[in-house]
Amino acid sequence: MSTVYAQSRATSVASIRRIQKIPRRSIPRVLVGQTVKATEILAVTEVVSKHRVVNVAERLGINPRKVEASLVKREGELVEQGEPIAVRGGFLRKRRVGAPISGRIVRVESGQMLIEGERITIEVKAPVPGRIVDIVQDEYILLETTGAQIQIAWGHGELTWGTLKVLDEEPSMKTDSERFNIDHRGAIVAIGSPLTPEFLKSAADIRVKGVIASSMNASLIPLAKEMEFPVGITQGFGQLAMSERILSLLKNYNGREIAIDMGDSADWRKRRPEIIIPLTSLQQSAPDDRLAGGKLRIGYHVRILQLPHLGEIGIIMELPAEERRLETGLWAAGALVELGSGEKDFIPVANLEYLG
Amino acid sequence: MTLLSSLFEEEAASSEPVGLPPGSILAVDLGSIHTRAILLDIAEGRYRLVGRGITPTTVGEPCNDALEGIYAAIRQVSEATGRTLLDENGDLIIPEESTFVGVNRFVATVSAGQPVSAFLIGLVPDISLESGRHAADSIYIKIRDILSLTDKRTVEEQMDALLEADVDLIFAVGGTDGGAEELMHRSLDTVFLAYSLMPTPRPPLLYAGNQDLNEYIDQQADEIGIQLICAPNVRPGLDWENLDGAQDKLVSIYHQRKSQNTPGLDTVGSWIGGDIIPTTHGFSRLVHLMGKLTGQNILGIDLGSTVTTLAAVIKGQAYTSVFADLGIGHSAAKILEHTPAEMLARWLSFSPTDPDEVPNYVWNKSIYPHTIPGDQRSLELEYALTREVIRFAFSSSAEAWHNNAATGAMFSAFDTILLGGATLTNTHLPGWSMLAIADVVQPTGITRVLADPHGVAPALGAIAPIQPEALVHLLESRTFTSLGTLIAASMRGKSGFATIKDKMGNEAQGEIIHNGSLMVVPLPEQQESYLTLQRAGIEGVRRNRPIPVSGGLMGIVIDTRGRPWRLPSNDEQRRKALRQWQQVVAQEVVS
Repeated sequence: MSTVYAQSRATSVASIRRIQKIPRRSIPRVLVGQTVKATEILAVTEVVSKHRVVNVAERLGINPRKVEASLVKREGELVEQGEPIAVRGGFLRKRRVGAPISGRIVRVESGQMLIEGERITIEVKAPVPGRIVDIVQDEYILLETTGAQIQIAWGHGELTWGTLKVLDEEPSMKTDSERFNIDHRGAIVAIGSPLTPEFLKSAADIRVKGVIASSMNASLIPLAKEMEFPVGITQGFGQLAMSERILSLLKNYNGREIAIDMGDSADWRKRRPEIIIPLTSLQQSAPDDRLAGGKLRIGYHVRILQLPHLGEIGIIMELPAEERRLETGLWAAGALVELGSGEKDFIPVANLEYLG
Repeated sequence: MTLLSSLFEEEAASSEPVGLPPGSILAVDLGSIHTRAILLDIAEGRYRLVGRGITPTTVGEPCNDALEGIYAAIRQVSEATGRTLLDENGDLIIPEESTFVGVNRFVATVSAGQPVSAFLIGLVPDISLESGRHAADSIYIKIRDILSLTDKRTVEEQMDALLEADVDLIFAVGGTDGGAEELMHRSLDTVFLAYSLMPTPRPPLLYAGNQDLNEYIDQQADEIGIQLICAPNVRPGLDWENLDGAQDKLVSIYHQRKSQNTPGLDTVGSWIGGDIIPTTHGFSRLVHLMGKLTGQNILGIDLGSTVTTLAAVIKGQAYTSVFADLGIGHSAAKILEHTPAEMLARWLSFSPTDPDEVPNYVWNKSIYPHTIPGDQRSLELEYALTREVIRFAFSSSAEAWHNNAATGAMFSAFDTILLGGATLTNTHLPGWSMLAIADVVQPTGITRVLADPHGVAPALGAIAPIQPEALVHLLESRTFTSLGTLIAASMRGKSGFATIKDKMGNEAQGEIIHNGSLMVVPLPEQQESYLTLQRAGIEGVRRNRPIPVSGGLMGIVIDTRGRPWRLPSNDEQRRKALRQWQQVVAQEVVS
């Protein structure tokens, strides 16, 4: 079976469809067919920060049935913190109850008052500039755009826009953390070598907007997650140099505005973290490069996803019809792949990712 | 017939149609990595597995449509059997139009996609909430928050938590039938207050608590406008758990949610005429039925990419534990939250090149969950991960199943262990799976180890209520692949002699069993023989008395390492022992 399990893109022109999840009960602010800019608001929703229950009857020392007459604020009205909501008594012995929080009175019942705190507005923004293709209420908004797209192995952090600054000319295993200068402040910095703690700390000191590296050790994940900017790796976990193809693509767009969208890890990992470079002049011209029927063909570019060639990119030279026995004793369908070094190796299809 | 009558007895309580005329059945399982289809049909009066297909699941990008993978798997079945299953519009042809066109029944099981998120409400953590969790284990559910009597939050904070949770379901349990209502009233009032403040659409409320409150709840739900689903109390008495009714409702809720949020599943739902069943529910139902039918102690381990399910029947009592975020693929990295990397590294016969080698492998497996070991090093890493996921799930279940309240020790004298999931059922490496089970489950006595490489078990569990004959026929026709028989000594004894004799009493082979070792005696699948052991200390085996044994891909594996056994503390000795055991089990598969 040469049906591939994984597909991703590392391409200079692609038609990109992006599902932007929206919270339940949110209100879309866009229409199907509308063109939006990056970070433009797609939908908004309001959430209540907190609720407070005030036992008015107890505080005033009256029968709950008599509370209604003592109210100075009623259901639906807005109140400020400390503002009187109920008053009892005459001129000399007046008792008053103040609002514990600012907000809106939502209910008065059995001598008690429920106040809803101030509402917080949540905005969902467009991850890329593009055209709205579909809106599914309470679920998602579908956008389409054209641009260069590089899907990467892992990432963490919020969607960010910034100017790309590529620090390396060649893939490498050595990472120099002393290369930052003031030009890198507010930029998305890319290196062709593995991330180190020192590099991350230097990046934080210079206040970059994002970091893209070839790989990193898993022990660096907690530090990467502490960063206030997104961090992404293109190859995988371990000590791996960046593939020539990806570094070359990044270098082509050096100095351009790019988006890095590391996705939401709670989002069922349906989609890879990615780097998007929108190309407005090619809005309608991108071919559909999705792998037809998921079948591999000779000449396709593939990325290897398992040891001993993890992260390497190669070309399919042959697709044997029969399964072959691997070193491990497993039998698997696979492809003969020519690696960057010129070496050819039989790789199981399960360990290949089609690169569009 | 005992088997059928006991199954039909179960069906009387089920809402699904029973006793349908026998005919072909197509079953589809939508897993996180693979989509499988199997066709069952009657040949010579008995149900048999006649065709199967397997393709990558297409729930995620770039397809975002489960149907693509389902169609591909069904087409493979069509090609293998010559039967037309889909019409020109892509709809399943049901019922059967002729012998080679369409099928009579269709069932679907699903584990791919997001779990149902829920807020659990109950009273006492060890009583009603525990039963609520047991009921929830029938589906893939993520409990976001729990409200109980031990909750230290104020009512306002509890209400805010309910409002912020943004869940698919609020599941309320609590109180025994006829018991005190006051405390439950108080909890429910908080829930209803929160509901009244929620904008629509509101999540449904599933209530499976004190039944005396049903009228009150119905009235409140009606006033506020909540979709209320009532089920029998999961804990009608303090010592009595009743999960079936609540589990049926949870399966329906799961079906509804899946159909809404998984593109393609609405079409599949229309083919069924019933609910799409969570794979875990089908698998555990099958294990429970096997236990009921055979009277054996049975353990089922379904090691998925995202979810691990353990189901068992122990001394007639059925148990299920679902670990919705623990698996060998997508959720592999989760194991590192429970288990230090050194625990995984102890299963390696080599010294890792750096301390990050193990966590790097686990994280790469998490981002590339479909990959298979490409070299010997990654094979060992893969099975180290497998062992620790099973060990964590098994030891966590020991607490939940109350197997031995006094010692906390897990019951281990299983007659049969059924393995599911691609890693454990790979028939090219039966020894590695057998070794992983012997290492972490540590069964004692005589245990038959079966594997389900084609993913038939969840389908059989789904089919059982509607076509019980199919289940009986397929279990009798050795649908599962036998890895072999594991014979394990619970204590270390002297070395002795093992002799295998055929049914005629002719000695086939004899081997010396060394103390503290693993030994394999080849005996092909579907072959039965008699084994005589010149050694004591094995539960159910008397010295020099022949015992009947069944063969398998690994034949018979005799484990004299004792129970419980531990890895040598010296690193060099540990690596040497691991290499020896790997060599023993890595021999050629018995054909």
